Amino acid sequence: MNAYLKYLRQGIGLLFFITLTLSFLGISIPIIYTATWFQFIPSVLKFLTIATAVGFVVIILLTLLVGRVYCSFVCPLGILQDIISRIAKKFRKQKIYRYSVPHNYVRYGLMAAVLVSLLSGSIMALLLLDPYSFYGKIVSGLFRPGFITANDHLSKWLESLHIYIAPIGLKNFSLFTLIWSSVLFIVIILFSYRRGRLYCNTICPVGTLLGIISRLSVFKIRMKSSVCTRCGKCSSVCKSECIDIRDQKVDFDRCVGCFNCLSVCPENALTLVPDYTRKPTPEKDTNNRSRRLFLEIVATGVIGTSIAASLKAQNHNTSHSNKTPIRRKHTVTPPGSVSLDHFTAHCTACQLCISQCPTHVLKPSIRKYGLTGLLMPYMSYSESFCNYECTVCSQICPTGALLPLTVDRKKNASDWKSYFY
Amino acid sequence: MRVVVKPNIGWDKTPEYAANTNPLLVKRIVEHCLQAGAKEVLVFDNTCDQWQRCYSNSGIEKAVKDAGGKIIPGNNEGYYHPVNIPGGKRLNQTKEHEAILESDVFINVPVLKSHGGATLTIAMKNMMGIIWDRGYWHRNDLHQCIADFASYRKPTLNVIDAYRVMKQHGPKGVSLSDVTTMKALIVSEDIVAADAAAAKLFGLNPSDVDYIRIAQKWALAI
Repeated sequence: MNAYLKYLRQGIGLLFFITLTLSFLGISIPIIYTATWFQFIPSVLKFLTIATAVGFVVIILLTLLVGRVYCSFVCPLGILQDIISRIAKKFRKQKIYRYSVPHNYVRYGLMAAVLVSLLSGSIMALLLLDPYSFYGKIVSGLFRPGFITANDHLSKWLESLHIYIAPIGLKNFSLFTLIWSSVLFIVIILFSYRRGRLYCNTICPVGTLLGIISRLSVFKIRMKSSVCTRCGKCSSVCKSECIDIRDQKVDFDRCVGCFNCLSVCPENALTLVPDYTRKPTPEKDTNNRSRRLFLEIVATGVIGTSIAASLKAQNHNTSHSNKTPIRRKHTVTPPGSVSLDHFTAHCTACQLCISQCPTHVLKPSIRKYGLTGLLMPYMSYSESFCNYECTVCSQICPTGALLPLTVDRKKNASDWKSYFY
Repeated sequence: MRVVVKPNIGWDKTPEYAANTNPLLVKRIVEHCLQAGAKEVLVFDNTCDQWQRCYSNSGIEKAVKDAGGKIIPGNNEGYYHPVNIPGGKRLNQTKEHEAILESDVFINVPVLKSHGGATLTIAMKNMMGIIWDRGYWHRNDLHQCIADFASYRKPTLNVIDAYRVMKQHGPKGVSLSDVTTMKALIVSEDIVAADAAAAKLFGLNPSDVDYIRIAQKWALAI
């Protein structure tokens, strides 16, 4: 039973991971719609405009049932870190993980920063920190150009043998995106090379939020101190470094639900059990402290928000009006983006539309939308064109920054009008 | 025998819009080639819209596969090799798809359509889908280039699809009201005669179409 949970995690995790990876490489896979529907931040954002995007509610309910399994089953960045740690284990000296204390100031501080940023109407923090979009940038920005180049060379070579595979063609390639994505990839490698899921438990706002929710989980991983022999096997396989052998405690806040510990415990001292009893523990004090800290941060956030919101309101007069411009003063957003305001308020620059665009007309922006719109897609007509009958980007957008278009609706959109002057 | 069937698959449009060759016609031609003993039947076009969407939405990809033929891409410059056109007036050199260069039989299967730049697109104009740099033709007297290329490459057989005919707003068309049903087919070994007959069927005098006039004057007809 215990080992079974680990295999279930590996199976479902790989399904999500492979689907998302292939999609970000530019391959069209129908189940991508399901895979992105469950992604937490995109789902929250899409829910703001489309009420059926309730994937995040499912994730919250799941967290309330068994904890942060999202991080190990669904999140592509989490699974990427598992893969890196697994490979790194062969090379690094220290083969095991050890318990470490949480970095609460950083965790809650960053989550508060995201909240403040969101409530003040800027998506900047999510654009940088949403784990799904983080992973998208790595694959689409760094691995996709390599994949396309390799495919096209292979296609050229096979062609001499009269075997035809389709060349893709690298269009609207952005060197800046390649460098940016490489930096992100290196950051993730540095975090996960020795320390497993340190990133998820320190930087990731989704991890922090689900961690708070998981305090209320029905099922929790608990250690039976009467059975435990303190052999330390569980702690040595815990990527979250959250099993404290000395005090025989599991910091369930930071548990990502990989279930590795359950499968290695020789005494079955670790179990996923209903957590009815909330026994007072010596740890309660520190618990309270972190709760107080959290409340303080949220309070700061609310005050900061109101200030930021007023700043935003002042700025609003000078911002873009959504009428069709005759002379293009603004960047052309992808089809289905409603307006510049709607688009830049919902896009987390996950790069899925850029990867999936069949004509590669979409290009990640550097300064077209300002720095807060880093790597958001825009229509770059210098190297390609938008296929008139195609609505792929609007259909596939997981955050609702692009809303689904029908072909007829797209054809009637003002993008396609010509002005002569 | 290596056979290449070259329909018009230029546009991301479904068959009823008649922007591409009728998939049923392509299917039947591929079947006949295989029955007649062809070793391999290849089908491709250098499309205008995104090629994968053109191949699938035109219905031709499925038709070819169902018939046992092979549909190959035409979207990479690497497939095209330089050829000289000794008799060309404006077009002396271009790059032609290797499938054509290596073929024993080349069957040209255009659809009859109106065309904004070339008046009509029929068999000679359909040859623009076997070369790489179409833009050069558009920039350098389209009609002369079409005639020039026809002096170099003569298909084994031309089969003109005039079952559904796009009478206006070509080459892409806007709505179904651009399309009329003629249920006609023109088959000829002579590409200029085939185009002339198709122009007449369309309701134009062949000399109204510049490239037919030029080609006819040059006596390109066999």
